[in-house]
Amino acid sequence: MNEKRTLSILILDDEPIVSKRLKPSLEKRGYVVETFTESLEALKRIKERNFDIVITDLKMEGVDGMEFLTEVKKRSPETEVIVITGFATMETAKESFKKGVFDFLSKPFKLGEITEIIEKAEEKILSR
Amino acid sequence: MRILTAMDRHSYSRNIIPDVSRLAANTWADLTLLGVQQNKSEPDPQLVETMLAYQDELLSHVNREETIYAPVSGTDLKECGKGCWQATSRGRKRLTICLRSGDALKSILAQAEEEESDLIVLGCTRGFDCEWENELGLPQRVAKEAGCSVLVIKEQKKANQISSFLDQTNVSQQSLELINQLVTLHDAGLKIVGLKGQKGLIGKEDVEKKMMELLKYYNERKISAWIKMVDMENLEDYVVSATREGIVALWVGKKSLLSKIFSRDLVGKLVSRSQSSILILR
Repeated sequence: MNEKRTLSILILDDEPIVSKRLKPSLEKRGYVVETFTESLEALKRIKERNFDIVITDLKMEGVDGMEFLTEVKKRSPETEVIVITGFATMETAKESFKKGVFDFLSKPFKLGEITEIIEKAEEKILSR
Repeated sequence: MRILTAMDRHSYSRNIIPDVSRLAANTWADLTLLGVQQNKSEPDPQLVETMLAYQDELLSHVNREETIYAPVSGTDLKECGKGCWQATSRGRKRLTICLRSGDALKSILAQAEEEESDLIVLGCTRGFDCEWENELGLPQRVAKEAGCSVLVIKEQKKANQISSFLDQTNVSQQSLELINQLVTLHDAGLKIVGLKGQKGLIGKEDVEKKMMELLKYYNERKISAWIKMVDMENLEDYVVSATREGIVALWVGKKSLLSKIFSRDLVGKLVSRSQSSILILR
């Protein structure tokens, strides 16, 4: 019998409210979720293990989101990265896609919007 | 992010297309263009033609560097309820053209609620009256009654600064995020305006603390932000002068003391008096 694979998600956003809102909802949907507000901590974590999906903010102190997603894709090209940003520009969107992100979502967003994107990413991952 | 743009057949609706395009191109938002018509039995062919022309103009701006949206065809419009027709294209982000029949205010509010919009954008005539689809004061009523933030654009203008009026501590995360997007879009500075009454700062210590928190929040994100105090009695004149320099943003919440002071129609009054764009934040 085939068991459904449980996907792992890492969320990095320096505003704690983002993870606080997303984590319980995603866990309820069966994902294993780890959250970080410090990019250096998150960087340390992705060196320890790979995640199926990474959701990252762009504008952060220390290692910014663009550097972080570059590192994620370098270590684990299979990881699907979703960028969320409160300071969106065409340039950051273009650069994100150039680096292979799965999708780009501007804040504010509703839970339904990000859940829909995560489900599409999940579909892609499970179809491999 | 979901943006609902309400558009009628007048030139001011066409004039907001560059602003909406820039916002959409920056944020990659799901975008809906909404038109309101009287005929309840079928889509008004003239309105369909207008909406498609708006779409083409918008896409010519937005898709210049990257193809974010696919065009919607008029033949894709399907009835999605009584007196409501809709067509959606699924490019990298969703673009929807929607026509609703009936009362303009109810139609705009219903669409925003159904699709859980984060922002309603609409243009209107200049001056105090603010007409939309020949209805006086419609933008003021949308700004007053919508459940989400509303941007009313009277005149397309480069915003050098965004003046946000704060008289309460009830500031939602969504409204902060919307301000951030507009500051980024216009590469503008952010003025956080506190209001002084006869007994000092309106909202007292809590508001002062909130203003300092906001200042810290923006400074940490390297956004040029500063605090300005304005006397309550000069507020309306101040709003007029602030709209000459850029966008005026007003946090409106149940706890807004400003709403109590101007109890009957604060938002409407400020929308009327503004000269370019006013953003109502929720």
